[in-house]
Amino acid sequence: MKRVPFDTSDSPSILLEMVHQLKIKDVMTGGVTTAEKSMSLRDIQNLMKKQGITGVPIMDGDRLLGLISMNDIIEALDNGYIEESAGEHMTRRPIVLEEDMPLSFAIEYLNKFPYRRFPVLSKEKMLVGIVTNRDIVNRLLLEAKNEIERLEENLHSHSADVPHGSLHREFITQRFNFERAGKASTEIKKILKKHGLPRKLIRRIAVAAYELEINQVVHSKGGKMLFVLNEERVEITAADTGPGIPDVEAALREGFSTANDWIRSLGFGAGMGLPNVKRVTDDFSITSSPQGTVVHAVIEIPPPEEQEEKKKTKEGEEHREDQ
Amino acid sequence: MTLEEMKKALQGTIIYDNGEEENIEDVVASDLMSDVLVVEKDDEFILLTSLASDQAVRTADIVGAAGVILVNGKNPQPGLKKLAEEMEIPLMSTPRSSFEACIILGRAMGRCQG
Repeated sequence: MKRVPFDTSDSPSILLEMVHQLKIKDVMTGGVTTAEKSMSLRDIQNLMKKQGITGVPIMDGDRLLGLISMNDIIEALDNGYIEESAGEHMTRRPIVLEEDMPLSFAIEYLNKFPYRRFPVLSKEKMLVGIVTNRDIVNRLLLEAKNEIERLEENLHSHSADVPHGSLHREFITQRFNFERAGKASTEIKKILKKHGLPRKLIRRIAVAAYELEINQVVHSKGGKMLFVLNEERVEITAADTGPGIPDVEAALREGFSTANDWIRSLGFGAGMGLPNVKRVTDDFSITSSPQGTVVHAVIEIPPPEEQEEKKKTKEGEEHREDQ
Repeated sequence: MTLEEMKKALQGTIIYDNGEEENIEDVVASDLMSDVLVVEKDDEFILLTSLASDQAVRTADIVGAAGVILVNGKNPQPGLKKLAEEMEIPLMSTPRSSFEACIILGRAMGRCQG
């Protein structure tokens, strides 16, 4: 039988945690169907068929004597002793697990012994269940699913508040994934709205985030958007994994675009992205190499009493730039 | 001009209405979202476009547009309707072309002389 390709001492720590924290009793099937040693193998075969099971522990009252598996039934059919009793042909003193053992034991046992199921005993040596490789697979898949969901949640939105009352969020963008494109910016806009920032300021930040996000989806192999908000400013860092912008200066000129018709048909690629980010931000820097492009954009948040005044000046500047 | 008035003027169909009675005073007409993203407007405005993709509604949300009008009788995909509902961005479709719709709305808003 093939080994379970899992090392219970040297695997990723999350998986190790799972197989050491889960107990056999969390994984096993309880309420096991059993048979007395006097029962014929034929009757056990019918029992298996009826219950849809592949192994039956053989009991003497409360005491576990042995195990009859599907293999034993096949052997019996082959060799013509299917009408004989279970007691004569069972696997005696089967390898058992205890209900409080960690799941890692079951995985080790599957590798160590040629069996696919192990009866489970309580501390008092009473039969309480049975563990098959199917039980283990099902439970591990469920645990892995929950764990990965939790990790993904953390990946998409780092909601841990860090010192100085600043708020961090991280978003993933994927190449040509227009289904997701804009989700990060929508999320960012929601946060800003919740923080009660002035509408115009929100628009500038949202526009910068959206342009950077669309750029990553359209032009890069995918990347990350890091959003940091504190009382003084918003910082957006858009870092992708390549292929880089060959001529950064040209990319910053309005109307310069390397987008194809297909991207244009989606409403983008007019060569306005980066110039527009630069226009709406207070500080803008870009570095690019074939390994990736990093854009850092900062938008200052004026103190509440200055907000009215500052807004007017900023608009004035923008009007001049427009002309 | 309210969304309802626009609907009448444009013989449009409202696909989603957020129930807010905004007084819309301006129109941004473009199929290029890149151009919409550079718009600076103080007044409530509506986005008029023939781009019936998710990005039309997303862009409208980002720039704070009061809604989206799809011209040339474009019918949105179910996904777009859902997105409009999620973002609470009113969405309307009109059989009028972009040029016709602009003239009709411009006149109704008193923006066309003569």
